[in-house]
Amino acid sequence: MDYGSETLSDLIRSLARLPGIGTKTAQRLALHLLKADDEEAEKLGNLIASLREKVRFCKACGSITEKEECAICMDPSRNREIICVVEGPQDVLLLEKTRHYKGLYHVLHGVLSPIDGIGPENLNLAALEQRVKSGEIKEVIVATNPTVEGDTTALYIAKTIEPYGCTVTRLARGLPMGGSLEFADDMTIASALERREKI
Amino acid sequence: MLIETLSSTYFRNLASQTISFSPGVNLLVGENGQGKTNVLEAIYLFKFGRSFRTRRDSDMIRFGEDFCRVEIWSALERGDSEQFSLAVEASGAKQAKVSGKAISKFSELVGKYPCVLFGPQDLMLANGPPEERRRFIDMTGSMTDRSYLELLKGYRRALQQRNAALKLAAIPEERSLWDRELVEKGCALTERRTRVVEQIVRHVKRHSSTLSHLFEFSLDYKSSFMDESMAATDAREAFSMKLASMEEEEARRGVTLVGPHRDDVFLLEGGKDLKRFGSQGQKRLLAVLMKLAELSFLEAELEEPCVLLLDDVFSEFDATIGKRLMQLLNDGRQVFVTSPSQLEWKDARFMKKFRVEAGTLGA
Repeated sequence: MDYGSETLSDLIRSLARLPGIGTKTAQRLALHLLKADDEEAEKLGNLIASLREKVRFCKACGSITEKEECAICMDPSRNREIICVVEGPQDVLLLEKTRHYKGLYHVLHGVLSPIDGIGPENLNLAALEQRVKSGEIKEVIVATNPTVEGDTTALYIAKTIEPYGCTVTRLARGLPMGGSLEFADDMTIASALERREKI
Repeated sequence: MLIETLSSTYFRNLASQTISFSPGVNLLVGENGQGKTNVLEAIYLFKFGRSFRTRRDSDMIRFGEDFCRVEIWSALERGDSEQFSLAVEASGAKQAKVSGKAISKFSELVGKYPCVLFGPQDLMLANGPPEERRRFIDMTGSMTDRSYLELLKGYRRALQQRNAALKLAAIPEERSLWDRELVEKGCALTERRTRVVEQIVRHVKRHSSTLSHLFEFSLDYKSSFMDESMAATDAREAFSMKLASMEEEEARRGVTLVGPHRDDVFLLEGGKDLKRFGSQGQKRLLAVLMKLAELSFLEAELEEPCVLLLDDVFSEFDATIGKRLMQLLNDGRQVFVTSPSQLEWKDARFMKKFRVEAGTLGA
């Protein structure tokens, strides 16, 4: 479409390439920025420009940071014998919110998925093996999602890590807190039954 | 369930009218191409949110229009009355609502709209490839239990990933990684299917004795990995052993050769393979019996009478069996039946006749 401005057309096309944004939304965003205060557009532009330059992944665990290592990896009060493996940086935030976990993390940045051409070499897996090899780690908790891909990735991790004499565990799956049996589906109930615990 | 009224707009050739149906037998009579089957299609739509005739939703829109809409008022035996509506746009966009509330996933319809269709295409159950029988069992199982559907999706996903790994993975360890999910889900699915088939067999035998004493039909679920001669102690072990024995061939061909996606349901008459030794008439009869069994299975599981849709089926049977079939089908449920000519249905409950002409339903 001809907007009468090459710059505007380019911006709309770039915005429309972002996930979850179609041409119409892109158009609305661009026209909004055009009308907005000088500061608003400029601030957004600067933030986008510095995003790739400033934000990086922790060299130890792969979570988001602006330094060499992330705040969690540098925190001396964390338990350095446990690593929790997650699919993405957003999972670290979720687990931190619980305030129940005091160990370290490891972000895979995805899961194994041959359909999408993702094999072990495309994930942050070699670094995990290196961390375990160093000997300090006693337990690796795999917290990937309970999907076909998440479970298979967990299996891969168990197979590569266990030879180093380190315990590999998986997050339990079962009944949700405060939920009643009546509303759980039978796959969940079956899994909770299989993984039942002594009172 | 009872269908009380049907209204449609630009749906195939159906005129925009609201039709009230009888709680008993609704007979739709008309020449070819007048719209008899379109009525059945519109009613069937809410079973899965899909047509039984086309995969392309926009095919249901009348030629030259840019949307279509179907609305049904139904009443359940337990007293709830519900409104189902479905709109399709030319772009293929589809929106279903139940009593005004939009449905995001069509699996939400599972069990809410019990109906069974029997038409000429169902002869494939007895005549067609194994895929037809697998689909029949899976659809029947999914209708009463949403977790069956979830399991089926999970198995398909594991199978896709494993097939992709067989084609792509450089080392054998990476390929065998996907075995566990395939075996877990595959064994669970096999067990579910076996249970559904057991029920279907029970109903087939019961109905068969009412329809005709001449034949002794049975069905046997044939797993591609459960092999009596194998020394496996359980299903998982049997599946794993079979996979191990196929390893080389699978690696060469890049596809998974064992699992529920390769299973079949054997059809038997007097203990013999019906597909090889049966007559056309026997096959047709067993196909009807399987659909009848589906009906009985759903009614038993959902504790609700099903709506039965019959698309021109009586012309295929001899008079005696046709008559007995009608008695069996009419048993306390709502029936919609199409026929090119007047149909003699003795003792039909609340029979209401519709003459279908150029998309209009008249008395």
